[in-house]
Amino acid sequence: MSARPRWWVGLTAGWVALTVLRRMWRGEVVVLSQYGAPVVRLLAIVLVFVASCVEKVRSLGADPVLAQEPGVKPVVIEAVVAVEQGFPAGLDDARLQRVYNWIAPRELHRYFVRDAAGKVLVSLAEMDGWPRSSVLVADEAMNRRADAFQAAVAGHLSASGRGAPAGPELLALLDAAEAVGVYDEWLAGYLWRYARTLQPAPVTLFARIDRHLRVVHALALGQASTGPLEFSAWRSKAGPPPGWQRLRVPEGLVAAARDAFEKGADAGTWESEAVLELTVARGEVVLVRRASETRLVAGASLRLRRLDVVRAAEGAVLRHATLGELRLQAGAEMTAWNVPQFLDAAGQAWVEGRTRAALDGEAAALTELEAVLPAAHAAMRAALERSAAEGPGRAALRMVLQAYDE
Amino acid sequence: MGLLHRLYVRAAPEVWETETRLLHVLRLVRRPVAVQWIVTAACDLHCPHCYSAAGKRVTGELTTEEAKRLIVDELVALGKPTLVLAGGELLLRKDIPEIIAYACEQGLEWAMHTHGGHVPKFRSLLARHPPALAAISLDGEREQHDLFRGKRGAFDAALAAIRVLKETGCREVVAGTTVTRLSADRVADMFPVVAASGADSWGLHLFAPEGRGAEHMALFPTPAQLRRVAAFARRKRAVFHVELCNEWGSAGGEDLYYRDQPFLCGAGRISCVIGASGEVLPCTTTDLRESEGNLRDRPLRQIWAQGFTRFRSAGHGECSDGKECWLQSRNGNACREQAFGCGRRVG
Repeated sequence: MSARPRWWVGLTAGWVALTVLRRMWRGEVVVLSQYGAPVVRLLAIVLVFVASCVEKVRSLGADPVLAQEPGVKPVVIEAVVAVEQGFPAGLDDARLQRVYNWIAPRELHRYFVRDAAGKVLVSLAEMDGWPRSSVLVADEAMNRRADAFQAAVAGHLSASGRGAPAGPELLALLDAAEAVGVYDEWLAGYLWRYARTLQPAPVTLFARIDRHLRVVHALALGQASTGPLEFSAWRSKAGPPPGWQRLRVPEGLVAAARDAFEKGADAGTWESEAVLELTVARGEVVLVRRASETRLVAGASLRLRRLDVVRAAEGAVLRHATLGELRLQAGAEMTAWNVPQFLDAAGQAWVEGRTRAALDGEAAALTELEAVLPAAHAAMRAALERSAAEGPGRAALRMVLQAYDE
Repeated sequence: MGLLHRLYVRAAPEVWETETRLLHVLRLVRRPVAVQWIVTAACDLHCPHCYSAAGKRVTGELTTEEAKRLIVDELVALGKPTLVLAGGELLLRKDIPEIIAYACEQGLEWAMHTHGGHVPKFRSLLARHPPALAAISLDGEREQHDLFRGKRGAFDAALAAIRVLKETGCREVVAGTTVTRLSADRVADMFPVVAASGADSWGLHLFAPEGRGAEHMALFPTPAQLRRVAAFARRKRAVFHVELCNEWGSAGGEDLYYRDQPFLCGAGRISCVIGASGEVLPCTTTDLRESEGNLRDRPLRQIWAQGFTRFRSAGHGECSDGKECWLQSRNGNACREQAFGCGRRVG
């Protein structure tokens, strides 16, 4: 560097220092100008960046903290079915942008709504304007996939109108959605609710829904580093700037989502809500999660999620701290949907009693039911159906039940 | 741009705090992004949670000329932040069309908070000068809303207001619900109503024991209710634009599940509130004890530049970090973090 720039840098720094000192001396405070604001912001970013680099260098030598699972170590057996669990290879920012141009986030559910007579209110096929007529998309493969998704939705709605759809149909719908790049949390919940009656439990579908939810969650996490999909000036109570309505997929979102996925993004509320903490009391069970089997012997603890299946080939007894014992006969299969049928008489009486109390407005009972939702959801539904009158606890019971269904 | 934006967003709270410290050292203050004006204390409803304790018009409310000169002109000089009109019920003030027209002529963007009952009467004004954002209070289904608001027909009026605002070109109409102990269990039942109302988004506010709310402390939701509503909002964001508003405080690293932007308290930093009689306050959920001065005594520019020092010295003092609200603890409310246990694994 020549002497000339250094001289200018010194002069500028001196001028800034003098200005600040003068302000401090005179007790002056000045409102930042529109030109000064980005400079200060940039300086703050640089300082934070430098601080984070220093932090990273310091932490290089530290030992990674390994997660310790309490209880008896489970035995991983093997994958039962080949279900892709990686991040979807074909997904990129451009595809996501095209999909959102077609079906905006939070919009997909509208195309599955029926009126009282069972008629679909808004058809996805009515949105035929995209992609073919769109100048943005001259991609025949995408067009075909979009057509296939439209057809799958129409086929599903037609089949579900006639009765409960089978597992392969639900899987086909999920396939078609993912092929076009639709990753939607509502769709995952919808498919799961439809799969509740399927016997045996649709392990492949559950694993696919699990991955779908993890991709959705990873896309949400990705936005934490790239910026959100849509702008809103909500927090300032001010209105958004002109032109904000145009949805924009931030650059690098899919890469950030892939990164989050590979670092272990989970299934969000499907991981944290409506779970049941159990311990294997006698015998052994196999936990099927994400299409992988894990053998759990007596003493091992397990956390039954809504996308898990527990199998007992030889019969087993599970224990819950509040509900008591759950007996699984040889060959039994337990999912979050059918937990109530494994409760013993005392467990069932407890659930019934707490449901009645919650219906009468007892807050503690509601909290207790919340902690055992897979075991209590059926009793809660039945209680709501039986008591037509609006009791003090009905609304809260409905609200908690939603945490199970969504 | 991409890298810079990513770096900024990833470290938003850290950048914010660092920037605050820098500004403090350099004796600079940010320009406001939004300034809310409590247009009047007059209101034809009598809601138990009202932070303004609105009812009758108070003596000394700013006149039309004062509003133009002391607020609008000053905001233009402060870089044209959004003028947020609230109350009371702002549309009860007779000169409000004149003030809105004047603000728009000066190039200000405006937004409003209203109960909606008088919105249809102002259709032509709203069509001429559509607000950038309008928040309509919706506190329950028909029966609950009317009961809470103390007026039969208030619910239907709110829904009609949402329709009128959309028809007249308002870019974002927000249905605003204040979560209280009475309404917390009913938000799931409310969801279909809000989704079908035509509102673009649903803002879930949290009851604050200020104004008339201070007389109804029992309305503060229980910890279990807070947790349930937060979990509900997180789930519903999959199908509707639901946001937990600032009264809920920060969810830390989990903010992204509850709102579009990470929580940052803007009180005295990027926003402030002007009371009906010209007192300048840090935020709406506070009272005259926190006034930094009156517009009739000192210009807004001067109050903004020299006031709010407690909020601008990051890392020094109770109001400076923006993470926990001193106001909540002052009024005896427990930490709101209990609302955000829902996303954490239990066991």
